[in-house]
Formats: sequence, C-alpha cells, structure tokens
Amino acid sequence: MTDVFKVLERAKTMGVSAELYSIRRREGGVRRENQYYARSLQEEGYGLRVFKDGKVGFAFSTILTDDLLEKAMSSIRASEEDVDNVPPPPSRPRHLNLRDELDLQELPKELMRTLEDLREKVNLVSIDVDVEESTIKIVSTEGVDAEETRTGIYVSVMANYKESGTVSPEVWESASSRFRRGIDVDLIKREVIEKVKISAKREKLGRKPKVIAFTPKAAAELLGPIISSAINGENVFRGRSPLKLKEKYGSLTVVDNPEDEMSPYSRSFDGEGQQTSRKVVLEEGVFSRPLTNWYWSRKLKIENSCSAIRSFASTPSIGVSNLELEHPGRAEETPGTLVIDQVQGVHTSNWETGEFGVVAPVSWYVENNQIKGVREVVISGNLRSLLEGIVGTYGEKRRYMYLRAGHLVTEGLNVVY
Amino acid sequence: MLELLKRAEGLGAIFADLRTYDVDETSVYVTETTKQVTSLGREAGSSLRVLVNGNWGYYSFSKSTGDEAERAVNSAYGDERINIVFLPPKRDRVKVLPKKEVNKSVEEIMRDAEKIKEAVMRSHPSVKSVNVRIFISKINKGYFSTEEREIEMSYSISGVSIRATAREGEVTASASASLSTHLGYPLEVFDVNQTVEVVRKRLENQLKGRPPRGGDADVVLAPDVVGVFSHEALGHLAEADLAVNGILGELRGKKIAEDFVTVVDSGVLDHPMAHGFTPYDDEGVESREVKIVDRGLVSEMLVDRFYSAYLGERPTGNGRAEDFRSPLLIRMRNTYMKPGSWSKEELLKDVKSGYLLVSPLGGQTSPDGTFQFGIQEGYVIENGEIQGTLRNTAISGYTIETLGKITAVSKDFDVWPGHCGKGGQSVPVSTGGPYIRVKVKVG
Repeated sequence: MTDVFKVLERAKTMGVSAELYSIRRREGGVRRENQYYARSLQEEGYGLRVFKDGKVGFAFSTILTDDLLEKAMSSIRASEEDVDNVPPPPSRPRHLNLRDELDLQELPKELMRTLEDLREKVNLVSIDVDVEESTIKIVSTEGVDAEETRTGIYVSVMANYKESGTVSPEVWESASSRFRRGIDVDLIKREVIEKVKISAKREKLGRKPKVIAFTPKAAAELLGPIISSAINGENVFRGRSPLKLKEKYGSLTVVDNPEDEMSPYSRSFDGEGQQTSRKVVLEEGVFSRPLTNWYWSRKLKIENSCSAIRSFASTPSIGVSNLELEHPGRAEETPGTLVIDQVQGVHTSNWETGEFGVVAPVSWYVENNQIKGVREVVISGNLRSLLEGIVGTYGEKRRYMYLRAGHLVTEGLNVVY
Repeated sequence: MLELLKRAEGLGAIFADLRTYDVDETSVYVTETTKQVTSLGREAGSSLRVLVNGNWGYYSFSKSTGDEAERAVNSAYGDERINIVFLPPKRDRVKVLPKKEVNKSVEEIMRDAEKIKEAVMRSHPSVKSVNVRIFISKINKGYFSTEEREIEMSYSISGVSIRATAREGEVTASASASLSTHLGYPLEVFDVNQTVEVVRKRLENQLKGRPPRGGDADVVLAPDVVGVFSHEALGHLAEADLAVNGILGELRGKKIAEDFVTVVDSGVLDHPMAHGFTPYDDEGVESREVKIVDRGLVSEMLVDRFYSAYLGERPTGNGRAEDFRSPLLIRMRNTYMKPGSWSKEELLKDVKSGYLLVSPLGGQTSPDGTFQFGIQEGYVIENGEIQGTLRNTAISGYTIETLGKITAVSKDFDVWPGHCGKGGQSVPVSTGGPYIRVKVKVG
C-alpha cells in the first residue's frame, strides 16, 4: 500500500504530471419484491491519469499500490500526441453543502416501512431504497486539491394493476435527494395509487390528439437522455449532435445546474476537480453552449463548463448535473390533450439525429371531466421538432432524476395508435 | 474465505455464501479525432450473503475489515419468510481456454482499433465520424457456501464494437455492429472486415432509405431481431421476479403460439458469440436450459434459489450480479428461439407488402407484455421481393399476441452478443434465433 501523495511525488520525480481520483463509498439499501434483500457496501477505488509531452495514460485499481503509476505509464505509450492532452489547471473549489447525517443501515429500513402499506392499495412489484455516502478526492501535481463528502438517498416504487387475468403496465415513481428532507414519501404513494388506477382500465385512442403534454417524469425520461447527448461537447465537436451551435430551436431554456443542493446529481467540483457552476445551454431556444470537460473545452476553444463525470475505473467523460427546463409560454391541459407520464424505448433513439420512437405505457386524456387511460400509443419524432413544437408549460415544476420541468405541452409529434 | 462462512454460521446464519470477483480490464477507444485508453486496471472485491432469522443480509467490500460477517448479519432485514433451495456439496473449477491466449499489449490493441477506424472511414465517402472500442476482460470468480460448494471460474470476454455516422444533405445515418467472444482476442476469432462491411451497408441503406408506413405490417424478422425479441419481449417476462407480477406467470401451461415456436435460455451455448457464458451462476447453481415457451406452450420461468423454492421449479442458474458490489438479480444468459423447417426464401415469398427487418437497436419491455425496439437495418418487401431500404424504423406490440401471429420459422440460426440492463446492472448476454414471419406494428 502507498498513499496518494507518494504517488504524485513519484510521478514528479519521473517528470510526468499526474492526477489521482479516489473514492471511498459506503452504501446501505433494502429491496423488496417477493423477497427482501438488505445490503451494505464499503469500497475504495483509485484512478490515475498521467500526462507527458501531449500524451495521456490511465490506470485504475481497487487497491492503491505502487504499481498503479507503472501501469498508467505503460498505457501512455498507446496514446497519440495531442496539444490538448494537458492536465487540468490548479483548482481549490468552494464547497456546497452536499452531506446529510444519515444512518446508512437504518434509514433504508425506515423508508421501506413507510412505503410498504402501498401493497394494500396496489399490486406492488418492487420497492428500492438506497442510501450512500461517498468521499471523493482529486489531487494533482498541477495543484488540483478537491475533496468532498456527498450523501444520496434514492427511493423507487414499481406497481401495477393485476387482477383476474388483467395486467397493467408497471407504474414507477421515484424520489432522490442528498437530504432526508428532500424525500416526500407521501407524494410517491399518492402518485403510484392514482396512476395504477388510471392504468387499470385503458382504451385505444379513437383519434389522433392535437396536443401532447409530457409530465415532468415523462419529460425526464424522454428529453433527459436526448438533450444530454445533444449538448455534449464531444458530440458537438464531432458533428454528432442534432443541434447546431447558435441556431434557434423553439423557445425552451435549458440550464445545467450543479448547484441544486437537494439533488443527488449536484457537485461542488467535477470529475477533474474543477469548480462547477450554473450554465445556460439553450437560451430561449438558441443553443448557446455545449457542456465540456477540460479536454473538450480546449478542442472547442471555449470556457470549460466543468462537466467531467467519471468513476475511478474510467477516464473523465462529459455529463449533465441537473437540467432545468423553462419555457415562456403558459399552457393548460385542455380536454383531449394526451398526457404522457412514462415512455419506454428511449435508449433505441438515434443520438446523432435526435430521432426517437417510444411507447407510452402510462398515458391518459380527460373527457367529460373523467380521466381515461390509454393503451398502445407510439410517439415518434426528433429532438429539433420536439423542441420547436413545445408551446408552453403548466403545473408545478418537479425534478425527476436529473431533470426539472413542468408539464411540457407539444404539438406536431407523430402518434401511432 | 471458509472462515468467514463459519463465522456467519456462528452468528446465527443458517446459510451463507461468499462471491469473490477479480477482473482485469483493458479498454481502448478510438474515434476520427481521438484515441485513448479508457480503462486499464484491476477490480477486486467480495460479497458475503447471509440468511439469518429468515432474512437476507449482505455485505460487499473491496478491502477486508475483519468484521464482514458481523456487518452482513447486522444488515439483515425483512419479513422473516425467505426460503431457498439448498444444494449438495460440490467442488468444481471451470477454466475456459481460448483458442489462442490473449496477451496483447495496450499498444497492439490500440493499433488494431486504429486500423478498424481507418477501414470504416474509407468504407463510404459520407462517413463523418466513427467510434471503435476494443475491450478485454479477464475474469476470475469464486463461489463458496456453507453447503460446501466451492466453484471457481476463470475465463475472458473480449470484444470490438463499431459505431459510425454518415451524412448526405439533411439525411443522417448511424449504424453499429459488435463482436464479442470468450474464445480469444476478437480480431483473431472473427473476420472484422466483414463487420466493417456490415456497418458500411447499414449506413448506405439508411442514407437511401425511407421511413416505413406506420401501422400493422407483415414482416420477416432476421435472426438478430428474433434474438432481441426473444430476449426483450419474452425473456424479461419470464424472469420470475417480473413474471409473478406480469402476464407470463398467468399464462403458465397455456398455449400461446404454434408448435414450431420454442424459446429457451441457456447458460452455455456452442457458438463463438454466446458470451452470456454462465456454466454456474453467481449463486453457485449449475446452469440448465430453460424452455420458456416449449412448442407454443408457456412452460418454465427463469429462477434464482429463492424463486426456485417459491415457484417449485428446479433451479435454473439465472441468479447473476454484475460485480461484487451489486446484489443478485434474475438475469438471462443466452436466449434464443429454436430454428424450424422453412427456408428464408419461403418466408419472404409469401409477403405481398411488408418489411424484412435485419438488425435491431436495443429494446424494452413491460410486464404487461408490451415491447418496443428500434431497427437499424431493414428492407421493403413487395410481392416477395426486396425492393428498397428503410431508415428511422421501430416495431412494437404485445408479446403474447405477437407470438401467436408467427406463421413460419426458418431453419437458419445465428447468435449475437449484447449487454442487458436491469436494476442498474449490466451483464453480458447473447441472443439468437432463425428468421420468422409475423405481423407487428411498425412505426
């Protein structure tokens, strides 16, 4: 065994720049389906990058040993000289408050107990509760010195309607936060009960809807991954984004906000130890800037958005923190609006073109003041037409996973029913 | 290790097992603008599971602290109703020897990736970008239980994946293809030039192609699509944890398709790309073939030790975990539809107006039996003849209805590698099958 500073010292004596990312993680959780699984975890990991003469090398291990540096140096030989292969600049980031005092063993059990009475109301498929605490430390020979402890709570529930041969799709609801006070268990329960009730009786659509509203959850499922790919600086540089810089696509404003302390996707510094801050990526429809890590900011010749994400076992790539969606239009749910609450198949999208075709297993419309569940609807289109077709939003803004939005009202998408 | 198990028994566990996991990973990534080693290193850790007072407890760790048994026992929680299938003592060591030892340096692997990238860039004038990834995972797994089962497995999985984008005017095409095997270095097991040609053909087809008409259509699905259908649309429904709340559990013993439809999941399949290789699962259970649909009849579910006892079904060996930190889940391995007796030409001949769908782009299913997946290579069929190519195509439907609409199964058979995601975990699987003729919703 060695320690992080000895590794950096040795790198210096070898004439190379080095950056060591380390993580210590503890986790507790309970999963309930037909059986309960309670679990706990404690792990460490180390990822070392080395830079020399425009080349970069990398190695990782779950144990910090002297040969980690030798391994990283061996991989530098496979690298190609590139003027942008230079270590990230010095950084001593300011810290957000991202840690709660959590009992990793007892809190999952407590949350599980509060959710379990759902089985009296719905056919409960599963409940998952995970609580974690991670300490991330990034140090480098160039003066990066960042360390932070972050907590996270993740709760998800899946349920459906199942009776006398009728099985509805799974309804899933979730909540996540860095803080216990950010988890509203009662809200999860209300949403699950209401949506299972809607899904219990579904009919085929009789006619094509003029207007589609995506709930915050459906917006997160559909728009989250497609926008994340489109605003990724590597994809923009390589012409693999369906969006072009400075062009206008509707009126939506999209902000990447790592400073939302309640979200478990918040971070004081990114995977390269650089200070994070709020970035506007789409401003009233105009694609104003992509997200980058250090390398891709140099390639694009723009200010680094400090959006590097990584695990100890991989090199930094680019990832969003929390996407916040805002639209100037105010809309409302009119009779006949097809409200989509869940989509499946987003991962089959074409990330380069932004084309998607998804099934909406949980959707409904209101007719004569009654909510009618809808079955077997396929929604297709592409990111550009989706952005341009958003006419407004309504309802309370909510964060699902890493995206916060109200109900997004759109026109012009293809509907197969 | 055995001391840990004994210690757990001393703390009241009626059963305990320990999974050990030690993997050497190498992964290189080359694009038209960059080349980098994205992963190189070793990941090692263990997971101790205990059954105490009718509840599971788990402790997973990368570094021993000496109190693992206490931590596992203290984590136990539940309704005290866990009942599992116990197995007899067994010692086995499985070592898969590749045709040729994989001893490539990172530089050699990088050079190979670079060559593939160049070949793809040269393959079509409209290619704008390409990603090539080559990975090698050398895996050593151990399983030890209080039943005196001691299973050790040593094998490697290596693969290459190619993804490319081409653009002509406003039309953008993107295509991918992957090879993966436990038989050695992928470039020494397969002819990667054929894979480059497949990517080129898919790009060209999409650039020239048109979107399909939306709605129900007669289609011929190729082995790659049938494999993904078998996995996504049917296999997930047969995973016992989902099946008990889904549509397939309700249909057990019922006829849902013609006699020529049989779909199975197996831990070992004699095919170079069957990388869902699982001779023993992560609960130390011997793999066996599971007939999910047997000659049109819903037959067996995929089970772990718990669901084996819960459903009264013989253990199948489907308990898998991505790594030492991940809990066990019921997962597929190599899932495929068995071939029939028609020829591919006979299947096509009877389609007046429809589509031949050759290669999928992943997919998803829901326990109510709905499925959806994208298509990256497809053709228009008119009067039994291939008349044009498709782009931006997806298919969807209800699995049970769709199985009932299969009208012919060919005698061809092929297998493709993939990774399956569930519960935040990803494990290698393979999917396969023959050509089939069926009616589905195309959109």
